[in-house]
Amino acid sequence: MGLLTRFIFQAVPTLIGAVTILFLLLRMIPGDPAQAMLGADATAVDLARMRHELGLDQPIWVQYGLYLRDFLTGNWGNSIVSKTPALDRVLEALPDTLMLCGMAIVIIIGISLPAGVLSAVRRDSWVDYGVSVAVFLLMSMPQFWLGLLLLLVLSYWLDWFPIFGTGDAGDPLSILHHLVLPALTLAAGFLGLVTRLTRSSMLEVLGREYVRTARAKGLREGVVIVKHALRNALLPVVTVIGLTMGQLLGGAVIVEVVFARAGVGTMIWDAILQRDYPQVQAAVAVFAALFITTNFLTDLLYGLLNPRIKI
Amino acid sequence: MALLDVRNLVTEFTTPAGPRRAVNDVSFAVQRGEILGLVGESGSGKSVTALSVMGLVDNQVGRVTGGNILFDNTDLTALPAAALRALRGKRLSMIFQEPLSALNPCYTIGDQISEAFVAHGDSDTRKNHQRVLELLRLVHIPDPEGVLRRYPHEISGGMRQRAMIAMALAYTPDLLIADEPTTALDVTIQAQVLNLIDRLRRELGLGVLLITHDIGIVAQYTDRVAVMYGGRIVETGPTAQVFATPKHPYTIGLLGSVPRLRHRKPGEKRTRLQEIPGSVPSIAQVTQGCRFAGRCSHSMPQCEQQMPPMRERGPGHDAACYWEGPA
Repeated sequence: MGLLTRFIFQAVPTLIGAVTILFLLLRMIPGDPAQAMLGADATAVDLARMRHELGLDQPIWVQYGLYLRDFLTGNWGNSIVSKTPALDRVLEALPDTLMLCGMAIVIIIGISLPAGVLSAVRRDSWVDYGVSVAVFLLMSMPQFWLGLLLLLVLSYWLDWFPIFGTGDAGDPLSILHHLVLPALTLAAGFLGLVTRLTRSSMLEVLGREYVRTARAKGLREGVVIVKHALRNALLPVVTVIGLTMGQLLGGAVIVEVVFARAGVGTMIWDAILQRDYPQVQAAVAVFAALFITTNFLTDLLYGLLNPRIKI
Repeated sequence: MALLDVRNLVTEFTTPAGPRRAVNDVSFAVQRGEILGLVGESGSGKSVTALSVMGLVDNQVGRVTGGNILFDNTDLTALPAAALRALRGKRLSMIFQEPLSALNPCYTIGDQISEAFVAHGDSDTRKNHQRVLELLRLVHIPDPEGVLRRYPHEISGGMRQRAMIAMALAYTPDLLIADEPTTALDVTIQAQVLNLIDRLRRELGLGVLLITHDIGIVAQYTDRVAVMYGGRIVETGPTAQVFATPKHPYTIGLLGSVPRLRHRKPGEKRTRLQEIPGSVPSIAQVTQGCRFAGRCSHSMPQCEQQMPPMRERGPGHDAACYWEGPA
C-alpha cells in the first residue's frame, strides 16, 4: 500500500471522528447563536426567523447529516458573524498561528535538547540539579499565568518586549520581536517535558554497550555523545516533539488571546463566544487536519531516523 | 618484556555501603603472540579487569584505585585521557560479548568500522572504504561490499561478531582483548570466530587476552591461563599444566564441573557431574581471608583470617592457597 493511500485511510476517518465530536460539543454549549447575534432584546419572531435561516430549527441529526455532507463536499459554510466563507478566514489567519507554533518548536528544540543532553552527561552535578529545578518550575506553571507573568516582568516593568499584537507586517524584525514572548509562553510547558525526556533517554542510551564500543574505538567524547548516544536517544524525543506540535495548536488559542495576537486561536475564541458554529467548526477541522498531518510526518521521520523500522 | 604487564590492579565500585573492590590486587602479563585466558564465573571480575585495562570503567560506577597497567612500558593508569584515547582502537582494541548490542543500530557496518580510522586522524573517505573492505575480507566476510552497507540487525550473529573483530583490527593492534567473544554465538560459529582470532594472533603477532567462562575454549586456544575468583586471580600458569595438575580447590572444582563425553564400560555406573556448592560472594561482602573459603572443602582456620598469598607450585605455575594439594 502506498504511503499516500495509507495516509488517506488513516486521516479521513480520524478527521470525521474529530468533527463529529466537535459538532456535538458545540451543541452542548448553553446559549443560542440567534440570541447571541441579535442581542438580548431581540423579539421572538426575529429569533425564530434567524434560527430558520441558520438551519437551527431542524432536529439535531438532520443538522449533523447536512453538516457532514457539506463538510465532505468541501462546502464549509459562511461565518455567521462576517458572512464570508469560514474556511477562507481560517486560512487567512493560519500563517500567524503556524509562525507562533513554529517558533515555539524552535525554542523547544533549541533549549530542551542541549539542556537534556547536558544534564544527562553531567548527571548529579549542579548543572543537572539546576536543570531539574527549572524543569519542575516550568512544568508546574499554567500557560496563561506564565504568559501574564512574562508580560508583567519583561514588557511592563523592563519594557523589553511589546505587550501585544503581531508586529508590523513586512518588517521581519518587528514580527520576531512580537513573537518572542508568546512563543516562549507557548513553549514553556513543553520545555520541561522534552528536557526531561531527552535527559532520561540519553541516560539510558549512555549505558548501552555500543556507546562503550564507540569509546573503545578511540572516538572523542563529543563524537561518542552526539553521534552514538544522541542519535539513538532522539528516537523517543522526536515522537514526543511531533505530538507536541498538535498540542501547541491547542495552546496557541490561549496564548494568542493573552497576547492579543491575530491568529486561528483568537478566531476560535471569538467564534465560540459569538456561537459562530460554522467558524468554530472550520477552524477546529483545520487544526485537526494539521494535527493528523504532523503525526503522520512524525511517523515518517521516525522511520527515517531508525533503520530498524521499515516505512 | 611483556606487552601488557598488569601489577596489583585494584578497581573499586561505588556502592551505597562505600567503595568495594571488584578487582582486588590482580597481576598478570600478556606477551606478544600469546593468548592468555582469563576464566571464572560471572561476577568474578574478569570483564571489569578488561575494562580497567582499556580505561573504560564507567566513572559513575567505579574507578581504578590502585596498581599499574604497563602497556609496552607505558603506565596506562598515569596517562592523560587524550593519550589513552589515542591508544584505544589503534594499539589497544577490544571486542565485546554480544555483537548486536555492542554495535550501534543506527549506523551501517561500514560506517562503524571506518569511523575508527577517522577517530585516529585518517579521514580520506575513499581510502578508508578500501581499508574497510580489506578488513572485512581479512575476517572472511563473504560479500564485503554488501555487508558494508548493511545495518547490524540485517546480518547474522556470526557476521556481526566478525564485523566487530574487523573493527578492532582496524589498525592491527598490539593487544586484543576479547570479552566472551563467542558466548552469544552458535557452537559452530564459535569455532569459526575463535579460529579466526587464533589465526590473526599467529599472522599478525597480536597479544590476546581472552576472557571466557568456557573451560573447553581455554583448553583449546590459550597458551596460559589465569583463574579469577571474587576479584582475585587464584591460580595461573601454562594452560596444559594448570589443567593437568590444578592446585587451587576452585580450579579443581571448575574443571570437575565440565561435562565430558566418554564411553562407559559395561556395568559402569553413571557419574554425576560435580558442582561447586554455594555461589560467588557479592562484592558487598568484605572478608579478610580467602573469598572461596566458605565454599571450599579443604578450608582451614587460617583461610578465614588471611588471604593466602600466591605461591609457586611448578615452573610458572602459581596458586593462592594454603592447601598443599592431594597427598
